[in-house]
Amino acid sequence: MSSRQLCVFGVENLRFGIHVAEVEEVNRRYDMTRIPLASDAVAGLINLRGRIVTAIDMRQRLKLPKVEAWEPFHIVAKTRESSVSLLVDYIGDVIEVSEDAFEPPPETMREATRELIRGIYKLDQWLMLVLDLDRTMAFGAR
Amino acid sequence: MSCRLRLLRPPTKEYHEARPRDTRASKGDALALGPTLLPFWASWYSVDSGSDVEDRPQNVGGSRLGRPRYTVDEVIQEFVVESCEGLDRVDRDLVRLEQDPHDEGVLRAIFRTVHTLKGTCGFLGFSQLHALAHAAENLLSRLRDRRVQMRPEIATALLQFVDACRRALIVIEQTGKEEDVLDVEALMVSLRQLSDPAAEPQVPTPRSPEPPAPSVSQAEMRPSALPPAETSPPAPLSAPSAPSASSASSASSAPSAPSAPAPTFPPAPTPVPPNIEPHLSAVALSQDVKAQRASPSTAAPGLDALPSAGGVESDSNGVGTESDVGSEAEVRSERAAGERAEWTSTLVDTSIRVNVPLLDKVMNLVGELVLARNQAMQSTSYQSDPIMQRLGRITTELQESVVQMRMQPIASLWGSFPRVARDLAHSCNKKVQLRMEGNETELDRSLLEAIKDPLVHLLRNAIDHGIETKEVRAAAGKSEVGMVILRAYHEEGEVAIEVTDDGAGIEAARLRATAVGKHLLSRAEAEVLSESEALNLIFLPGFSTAAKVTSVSGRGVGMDVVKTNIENIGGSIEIRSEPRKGTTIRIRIPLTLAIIPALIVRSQTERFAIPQSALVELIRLDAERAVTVVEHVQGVPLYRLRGRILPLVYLDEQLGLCSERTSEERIERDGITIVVLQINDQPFGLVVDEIFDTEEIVVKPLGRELRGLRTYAGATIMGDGRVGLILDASGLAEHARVVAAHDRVATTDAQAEVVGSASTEALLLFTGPDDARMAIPAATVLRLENVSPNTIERVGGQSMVQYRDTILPIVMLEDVLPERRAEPRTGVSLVPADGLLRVVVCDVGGLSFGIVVCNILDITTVDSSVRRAGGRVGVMATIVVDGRVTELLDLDRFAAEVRAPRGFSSEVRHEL
Repeated sequence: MSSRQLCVFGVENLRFGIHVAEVEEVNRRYDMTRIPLASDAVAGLINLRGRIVTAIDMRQRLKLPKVEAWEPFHIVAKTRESSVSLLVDYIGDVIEVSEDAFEPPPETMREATRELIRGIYKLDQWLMLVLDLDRTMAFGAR
Repeated sequence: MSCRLRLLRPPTKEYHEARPRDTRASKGDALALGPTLLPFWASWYSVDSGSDVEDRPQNVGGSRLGRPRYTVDEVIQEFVVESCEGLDRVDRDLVRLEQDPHDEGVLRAIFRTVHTLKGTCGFLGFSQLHALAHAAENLLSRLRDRRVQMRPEIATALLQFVDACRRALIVIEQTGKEEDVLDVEALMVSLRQLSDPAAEPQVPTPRSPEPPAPSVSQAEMRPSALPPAETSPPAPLSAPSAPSASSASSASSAPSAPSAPAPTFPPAPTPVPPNIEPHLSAVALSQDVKAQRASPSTAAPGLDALPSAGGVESDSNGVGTESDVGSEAEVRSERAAGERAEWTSTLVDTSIRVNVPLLDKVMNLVGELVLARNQAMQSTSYQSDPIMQRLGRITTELQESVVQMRMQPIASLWGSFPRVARDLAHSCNKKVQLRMEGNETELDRSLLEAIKDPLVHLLRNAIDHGIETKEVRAAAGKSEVGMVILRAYHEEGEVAIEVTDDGAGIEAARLRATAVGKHLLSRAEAEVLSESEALNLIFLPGFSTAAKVTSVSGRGVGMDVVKTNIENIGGSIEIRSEPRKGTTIRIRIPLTLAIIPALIVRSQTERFAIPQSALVELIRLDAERAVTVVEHVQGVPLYRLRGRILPLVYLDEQLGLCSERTSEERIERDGITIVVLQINDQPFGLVVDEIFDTEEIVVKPLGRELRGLRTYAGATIMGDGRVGLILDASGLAEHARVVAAHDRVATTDAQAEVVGSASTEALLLFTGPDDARMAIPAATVLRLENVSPNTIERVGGQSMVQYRDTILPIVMLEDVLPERRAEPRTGVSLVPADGLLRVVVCDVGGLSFGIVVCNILDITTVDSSVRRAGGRVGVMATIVVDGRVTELLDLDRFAAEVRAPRGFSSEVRHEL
């Protein structure tokens, strides 16, 4: 069975993974320009070495409560068209998972979370949710 | 007694401050922005001098980077460049073909190129070249059909043909004319002989003993790579172009030229033995180059600097004398070599083809460089550093050059259109006037090329289908001369191009019928189409409504191709048409990846860039002044700009950057800074907190996930490295409801008489007696006054009010609208609780007068095409505003009342 490497990040008590190939860089701070009238999920725009990248507030996107003085990490990831920066609580390791540990998301999951993931990897100690970047980027305007 | 409110005051003079020009000056060289900014100032000046806004594009154009117009010369220039490229290919391919005569692909390629050359020569009227190419084409077609076998003589002849074409092209390039210099006869005879299959076994033609042209050209080319030529590439630009008398005589008297095919022109297949030629050429060339460098006329590079035939002649004479020491042969070979070197450098120096991805990359890199420069300049310690200043200047120049490299005014595309229109109109027996507006609107080169064919097609359609014949026009009461207007302008960060004709228009019913007739739609499907959907049928493949197919259009290929082409470059196309009035087709092309000048403003803590294309002017009023000149109608701030009411919109409020204070409070505290923007002839004032500066910004599109936000045109990286949002003036205006939503579909009542054209209009809404809703165009409103009833006096049946030494005539609504004659009940309602009459002061054709109304409600924008003609005197039309029937008053009627009052209105006087 083939295996693949995923980069782990966490939002609240959820642990997500995205494929390493999709990750461009991880950083703590960027100067962010907020976008009035944009969806709540949009934290703003950042300048990634001359490219303008939309930053998504993953807490808002997952409809999780706001946090005071949040100091998120940015994971800049490649999407089909451009790049996106995900604002998350913490960054984990890169782990290797085997394909046969994958299952589609169960119907009973919370809708706001389920609609953003491709499926779940069953790991020994915990479950890793595989984030679908395209779905994460698909949100209506406020 | 008189009780004038603060609204009552003389017209104010605007106090302009914080003009970008001033802020620029304070920044000095630090952000030297160069000529691309000029249009902005030009627009400033034109507004300042009170000229119409419509004048603006012309003024802008005047100051736009002075680029030559697209002329016949340029067409020829392009022809020469393209043909030379083709000939170079043929050169290579011929050699390959000689090596492998069975390579049909190569043969076809050669054939195509020669065929193209022939066609273009015929088109441009170069008859000799055309005949020559025709002969070569014949030979090639025989080769292709295998009726003639490839032989060295044929290759030689074809290569000679290529060389002859090159010589002719040089002459054409420099003089624009095909001068009688080609001794094509010999070559043509040989080409014809060779095409004759019967002649195949013959002994080769007299010229076959000559060395094959490729070796000659190689020998001649080599010297041009020697140091003297290399170090001074522009120098040989103006070398001989036309044969001089001396060269002709020297050539013909050359003893070793027994059968030169082109004795009057420096021959490529020179009779000089090839083994000594390279050496001689090298020597001669270095002399040649030196001589040219010494000549002052060669100093100026570029095509324009090319000397005329006369100058060339003396030049070549000079060269000739210098090499007098050499033999005749030496002179000849020198001339040949010099010519070849000149030919190469002429073409290489004037234009090269760069592939667009590379150009894009350079453009991107320069964009990055500009940003990096801006960032570096932000740190003040560097500002005084001469090295940094130099870097800044160089960057600016580099940027301008790169932008220029890609941008071209649309005029370069339109240059040939008047001719197209004229010829077409002629052949259709119509009279057509072509007007072109926005010539200076600049477009990316690749976009220009992509829209050229669609535009030509639309122009042809407009003339062939749109404009009626003279007789029909006359019968329809139109001017005999049909008008076709091409209009280009920037809008919402896009370029819009309109092709408008005042012809017959398109009847949706006919389109439906045609679609059904051509089995593109079923009858039922066609029935349910709306007007605009029916109009869009013309974009279907295979759709044509032309009654007869002409040579020009009507074959049903076209509009679908036009649409596809436009959509391929990310554009859109829309059509509006009114039967008997005309048709407008509008193309919109995105303008991404552009460096545009923009004004940087602050609202609350955020900075925004406003593209200067939408910018009209800037107004700064300090608190003291602003309090008196900014008026509020139910909390909505309005400002009078040169007599017109300018709706004001707070940027922070629109964007939800909350502000607790009301407009009145804010103005009292901080004054007001207004950025006047204009969208579709509708100006509005955007209130910002601070105006910084104009900057060249690189427009970057927002991600797909943010495209729904119409208030932004994109984003950019500011001088400090942060991202700034670029406001979309039009989207903002829609968001603020200053103008009607773009895609709002006008629903016309079938019975309503449609008056005027589809356009939006700002109206001042108020109530009259009986709470009737009424409106007048806001543009006519000068001021809103509150007047005590006591101050209104009646003189000779005319009410008037004294105010500042002048007398303002007052019109009661009831004076003009007799059926609205105030009943005692409503008479009371005319006087609001504060005891003051609301007076709207209007200006109609220079006549100022006041209309007494009950309550002033709002200023709103409506689609003024949706209206029903008024059925009463004094009412121009009835429209629906905010779901209420509203009477649009006929101000001309009111003005007439002022000029000749109908009489007393005793009831009102009684009330007063």
